[in-house]
Amino acid sequence: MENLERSLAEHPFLKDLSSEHVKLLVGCAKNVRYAAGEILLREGEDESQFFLIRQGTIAMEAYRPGKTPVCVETLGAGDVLGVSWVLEDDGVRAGMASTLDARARESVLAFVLDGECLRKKMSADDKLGHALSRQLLSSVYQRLARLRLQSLDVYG
Amino acid sequence: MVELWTPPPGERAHTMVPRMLRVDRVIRELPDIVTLVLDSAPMGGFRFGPGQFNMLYLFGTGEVPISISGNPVEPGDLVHTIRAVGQVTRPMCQVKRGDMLGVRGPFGTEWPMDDARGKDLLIVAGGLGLAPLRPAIYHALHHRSAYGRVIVLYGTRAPDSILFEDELHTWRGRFDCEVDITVDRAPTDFRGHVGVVPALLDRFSFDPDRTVAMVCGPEIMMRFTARALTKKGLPREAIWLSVERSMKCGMGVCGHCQFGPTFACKDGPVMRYDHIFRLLDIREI
Ligand SMILES: Cc1cc2nc3c(=O)[nH]c(=O)nc-3n(C[C@H](O)[C@H](O)[C@H](O)COP(=O)(O)OP(=O)(O)OC[C@H]3O[C@@H](n4cnc5c(N)ncnc54)[C@H](O)[C@@H]3O)c2cc1C
Ligand code: FES
Repeated sequence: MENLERSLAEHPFLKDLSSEHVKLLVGCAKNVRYAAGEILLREGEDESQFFLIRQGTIAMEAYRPGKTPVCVETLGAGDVLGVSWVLEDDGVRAGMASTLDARARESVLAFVLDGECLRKKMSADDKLGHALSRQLLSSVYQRLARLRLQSLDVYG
Repeated sequence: MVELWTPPPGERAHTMVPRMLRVDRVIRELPDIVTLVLDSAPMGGFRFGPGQFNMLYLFGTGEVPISISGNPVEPGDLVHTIRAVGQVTRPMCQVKRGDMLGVRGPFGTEWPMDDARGKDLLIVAGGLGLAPLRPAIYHALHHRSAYGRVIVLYGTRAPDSILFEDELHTWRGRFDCEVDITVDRAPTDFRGHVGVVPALLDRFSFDPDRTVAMVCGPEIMMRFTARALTKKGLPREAIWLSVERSMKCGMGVCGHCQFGPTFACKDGPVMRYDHIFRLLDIREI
C-alpha cells in the first residue's frame, strides 16, 4: 500500500495533490500492465475507469469503414486517459463514451482508478473534489490546445 | 543627394555579385523537396557556419534565400534543400545535374555552437526546418565530445513526409544521439509519436540549467515550442530560433526583411528568444 501511495504521488497528474489526498485515492487504484496490442478502452465504451500512464505508448486510433485505421494521437508516461467518468451523476450517464480505441503499442504500465470510487471520494471531500477537478480540467485543456495546433497542418 | 551603399573595406564582393556554381547532384527528398549539391571545389570550397543561408539565383527567374543544409566540416559540397512553393523555387527544384546557379553568401547569424559547448543540445525541427538545423547536427556529432547530450526532436505532417529519414535513423542508431519523431497523423503501423512537437518535449527530461535549445520550423510551431520550453524551466536566453522573413538583398541594405528593429538577414536568421519573443507576438510584423 505504502509503495502504491508513493508511486501514485509521483505521477505528474497527482504531483500537486497533498499527501492526504493521494492517500485517499489509494483505495480506488490498481497497478496494471497491458501487453502490446491490448485495448485499454474501446470506442463506444463507457469511460468508467481513469488511467494514469506510467510507462509505454498508447495509440489513440480511429477505425473507418473501408479505409485504413488511423492513429490520431499517441499518449505516454505522464498522460491520462478516460476522463468522462467524472461527469456521471447519481448513476445518470453523461452520455460520454470513448470516441477512439486506445491500444497499447508496447507493454504499458498504468494505474487504473475506478471512476465510481473516485466520484464518491470527491463528493465526500470537497477539497479533494476541487483539486482533482482542477487537474482534470488542466489536463483536458492542454490536450485541447495540442489538438488545435495539430489540426492546423502547420508544416505546409 | 542619395548616398549609395558601398561594401565596408575588406568585405568580399561575393555578397553582391553571384558566383556561378555547377549543380553536381540532385536528390529528390520528397515529392516537393529536392536537395541540390553544388560543386564548390573549383573555388576552394565554401565555408559557412551552421544556420547561415545563401541567396540562390536561377537566372532569368529570380533569387531566393535558402539555408545551407550541408556539412560545415566538408565544405567541398555546397548543399541546399529546397521546397517548391512558388515562382522561383518551383523551377529551381527542376534543375538538372550540370546546370548553373548563382550563389551570394553566406549570410546571416549562426546557431550558437560555440556558446553551447559543454551543454546539452536540444534540437527541435519542424518540417523543412530540419534543413537549416542539419549543419548544427553535423557539427555537434563531428565535435561530439564538446557537448553533453544531443537530442533531436522532429515533427512533420505524416510518416511519408519525414525529411532526411535515413539520416534520422542513422543518428538514432548512434549511442550518443537521442532522436524522436512525431507526426500529425499516421497509419496504425507507424512506430513514432503522433501529436505536436511541444507534446514530444514532455516525453523528454532535460536539465534546464545546462541545455541550449535550437528550434526551426514554421513560425507557429516555433512559438508554441519556445513557450513550452520556457514552461519546462528553460531560460529564454537558452532558446534560439531561426526567423524567416521575405528577403531581397540578404545583407542588411534594402530593408525587405525588417523584423521590428532588426533585419532578419543580418541580425538573423538565428536569433535568441529573449531578444524576439515580444516581436513574435506582434501580428503586424
Ligand atoms: C533565411 C531564410 C532561409 C530559408 N531557407 C529555406 C530553405 O532552406 N529551403 C526552402 O525551401 N526555403 C527556404 N526559405 C524560404 C524561401 O526563401 C521561400 O520559399 C522562397 O523565397 C519563395 O520564393 P518563390 O518565388 O518560389 O515563391 P513566391 O512565388 O514568392 O511565393 C509562393 C508562396 O510561397 C510563400 N512563401 C514565400 N516566402 C516564404 C517563406 N519565407 N516561407 C514560407 N513560405 C513562403 C508565399 O506566401 C506564397 O504563398 C528560406 C527563407 C529565409 C528568409
Ligand atoms: S534582405 Fe535586404 S535588408 Fe534584409
